[in-house]
Amino acid sequence: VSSSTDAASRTWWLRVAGAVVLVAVQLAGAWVYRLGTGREAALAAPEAATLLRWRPDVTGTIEWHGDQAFTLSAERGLQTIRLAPDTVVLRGAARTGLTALRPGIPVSVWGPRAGPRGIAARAILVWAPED
Amino acid sequence: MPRARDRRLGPLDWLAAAVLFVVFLAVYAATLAPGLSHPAGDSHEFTTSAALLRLARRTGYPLYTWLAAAFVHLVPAGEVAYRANLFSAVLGAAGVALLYLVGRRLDCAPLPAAVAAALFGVTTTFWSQAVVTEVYAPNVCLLALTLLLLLRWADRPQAVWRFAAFAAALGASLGTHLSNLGLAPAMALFVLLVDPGIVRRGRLLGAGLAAFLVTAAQFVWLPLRAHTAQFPNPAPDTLAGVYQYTLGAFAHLRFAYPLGEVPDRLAVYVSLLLENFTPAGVLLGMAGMWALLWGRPAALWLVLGLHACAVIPASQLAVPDLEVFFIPGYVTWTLFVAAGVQALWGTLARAGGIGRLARAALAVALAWWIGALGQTSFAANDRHLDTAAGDFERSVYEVLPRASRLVVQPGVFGQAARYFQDVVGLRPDVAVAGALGGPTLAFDPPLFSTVPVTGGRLAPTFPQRTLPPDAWYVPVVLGNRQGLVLWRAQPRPAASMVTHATPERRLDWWVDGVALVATTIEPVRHAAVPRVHVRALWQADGTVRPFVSTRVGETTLETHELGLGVLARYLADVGPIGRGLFVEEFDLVLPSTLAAGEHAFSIGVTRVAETGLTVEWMEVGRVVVD
Repeated sequence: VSSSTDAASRTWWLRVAGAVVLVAVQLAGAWVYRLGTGREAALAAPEAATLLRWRPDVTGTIEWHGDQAFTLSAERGLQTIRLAPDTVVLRGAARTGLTALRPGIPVSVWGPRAGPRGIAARAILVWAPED
Repeated sequence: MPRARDRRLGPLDWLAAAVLFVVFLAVYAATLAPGLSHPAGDSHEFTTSAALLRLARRTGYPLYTWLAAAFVHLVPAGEVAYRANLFSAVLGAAGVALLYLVGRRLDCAPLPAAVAAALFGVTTTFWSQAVVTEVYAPNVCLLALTLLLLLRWADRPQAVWRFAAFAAALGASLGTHLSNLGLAPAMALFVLLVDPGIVRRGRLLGAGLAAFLVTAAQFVWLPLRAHTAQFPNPAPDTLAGVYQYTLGAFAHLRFAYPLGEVPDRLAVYVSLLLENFTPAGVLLGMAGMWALLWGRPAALWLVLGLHACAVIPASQLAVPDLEVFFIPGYVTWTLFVAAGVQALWGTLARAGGIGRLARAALAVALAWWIGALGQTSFAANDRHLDTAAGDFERSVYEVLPRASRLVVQPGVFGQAARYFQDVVGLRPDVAVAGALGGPTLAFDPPLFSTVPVTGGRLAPTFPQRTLPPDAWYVPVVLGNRQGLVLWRAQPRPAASMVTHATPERRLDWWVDGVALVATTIEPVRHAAVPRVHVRALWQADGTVRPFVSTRVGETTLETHELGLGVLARYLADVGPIGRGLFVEEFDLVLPSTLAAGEHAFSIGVTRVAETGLTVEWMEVGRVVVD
């Protein structure tokens, strides 16, 4: 695209500096993307300290229970959280049981998407202060 | 003085922008929340502020409040809350249309500019904000307008009025989100790159500064309306107060992470970018960066600078709704995508006859891509059945006795009750108080509350002064979404909580150590929103704490711990029930969107085992919706 609008934009240093910055930005982007995919590895051996460094896939309040699933009321609307036998439920850094998943309790959930409004939970962090 | 080529937008551009506006307004309107949305976030307060021209929460949002106020008062469609939601849809669609024009100003052909704008319009995060009352969709409109005017000025840098128009738009945009001020350094860099001699042109700079100050002066609204600030917001009635309300607001949430966590925080952004734009959109954006560098380096520096200024501070925010703060970053990414699609489109244009075929195939593929993403976003953001907040509040005001008192959550979260009283005009006899207002209220006149309660007491994490801390909080009305409960505060447990009478017709349905012994489900006559009165008798010794659910037809309404805390407190403070039956009794609000006809009403009990959750259901009655 040629332009006669920007005199400054045609100076060679602007392109050179831009190229250097773009290379740096895109390499850095690739690096943080790899960091992001490392989240999956962290989920395989979950510890809250590791998990909490990452954005949960959804945070909200438990609405109601279904079969092997519960519904979460989140900012983006209702989300269905599907449980699997290896889903880990945490309170702080410690593992806890499924009884901690009570209605009205705020939780954060990590896991891949399962449908437009669903998450297949790998780890659930319970924010309730008491049992 | 640099010479310029003025990229005038033609009639077809305005037509294409109008088409985008209409299409996106239609899809946002189809998924729009019909009233107050749930969960509330800041939405209910923005609705009430707009309707009554009250000062909104920090940072004040003057322009947003004025525009929304004009909209809800002038547009005769539905109730005020619906109009406020529609305002988001209208300005959201306008933002998409303006992004198309920005793409055209960046030398993109109509199709690449339209594809990029449409891609932005179907991103999940932006769509979610265009269907409820929030500032983010209107802010995109103002941001896109600012960029459009900046690029328009860049085509004729000597044009004083063009520069002033850009500066005025930037100042105005601070009233839809003050964080736009953080984008100013990138815009200043672009201005200097376009016209390095601008520093010597006092008239142009003066006009720009004056225009910016005039529109930014909207913040005078804050001290003028300080008396309407909703507690616990500090009233901005002093200079220090105005600073704390604006630039100094939420200081503890900004740059909240140590430097060592910067890469992790940026990884969060990258994951959200991939979620919204898909890998194809991210790759197109990366290619677009290089295309801009080659074709229009000053514009690259503008968009890249804006992207950095938007994304880096947002990634350092410690907030639960982080994704919405990246929306300005997505705006700039959209411009990279436009440049990327343009590069692809332009390359094919130079390939002769095969290129024409390839361009047709590319256009079809892009249309399919946008359509598929739109379908996903539609399903994820469809709020047109989101009536829970309104259904609940209308029922609350119907149930409350005359001249009773209702204590709600302080600040933004207690605004639904205020909306229905102050805007809709329900029950002026009920005294509504914020839970932080103090002093502690007595039990007469009747005292009710919607603040969180656990274990039959006020939630220990909830700071409040108004409600008596040792009172018994007994559920009276349950909404059809979690967290919507009206409690009656009373000094002691009612004798009717436990009965020793023998029910005439016993169910004796045992699940995991508790038994549902008998139920009655009665419709409440002449209710504004359909609701049923539920009375359930349970045999429970307190050793297990089952979760009880209610369901109409196939729609589960809510789940709660048996007794909603009252049973647990009764067993702890009064003693075991013995051979008696625990009585759970409340009005349950049915969704106002429930189809007319007869529906099965079921009660469910969740079984919790090592292997997971299962719910056992029993149909206990029928409800008829007129």
